[in-house]
Amino acid sequence: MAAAQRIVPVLVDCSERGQNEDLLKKYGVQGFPTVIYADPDGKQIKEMDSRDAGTIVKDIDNLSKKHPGRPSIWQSSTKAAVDLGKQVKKPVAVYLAEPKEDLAKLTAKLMKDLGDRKTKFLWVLELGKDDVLKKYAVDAAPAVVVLDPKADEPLAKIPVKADDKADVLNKALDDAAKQFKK
Amino acid sequence: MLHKSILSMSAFLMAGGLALGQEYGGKVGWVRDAEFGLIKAKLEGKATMLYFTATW
Repeated sequence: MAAAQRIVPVLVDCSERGQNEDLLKKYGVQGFPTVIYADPDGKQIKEMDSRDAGTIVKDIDNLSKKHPGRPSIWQSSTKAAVDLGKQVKKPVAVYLAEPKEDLAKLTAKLMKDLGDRKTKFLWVLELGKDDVLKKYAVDAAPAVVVLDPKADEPLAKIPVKADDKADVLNKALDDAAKQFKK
Repeated sequence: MLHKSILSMSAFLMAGGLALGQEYGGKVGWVRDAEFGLIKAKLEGKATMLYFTATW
């Protein structure tokens, strides 16, 4: 498995005053650029002390052995999913979660409810913050936006309601899948 | 400037056969929302690489 899938690479842009200040304080960052490795709970493991490719590979190998990840339906990013979707000819389903949603619970629910739609679509998770909702022209989260990786317009925008049964989302996904032309 | 800095970091991450994200065209799939990146790492049970950068 490629390194990008074994760890989560996070870009922390601190260009504007106060931007990501909490993270700068938390990790004691004194200058830029700085690279910190952290465990899944965000606890600092070490600072990258060498830019030697061999050392970085070794660091990532060690980290991913210790934190191998757990089964998940999520692709690493929307861009990665769209690129992969073009190759494997699958639609991309972007789940726009409510920012305060329990994402572990949501993932478990989707893994249980989606059936073969888990693999029919390439799934991506994004937090439904204002800028993200604007990007997809969606009024509110939670919602699922189904993308054709080769088209500009989405195949479907599906609002998700907490009290909806799984069938409602599944039917809308099936309808979107029918529109997808390989 | 920031873009250049990210490219430089990505290039060195891909050096020596590391090819972070090589199956997606050799590009690093940076998560640009740090809060979300940390939630994602917890959710997936994976370690994170936090790249702090700034253009001043």
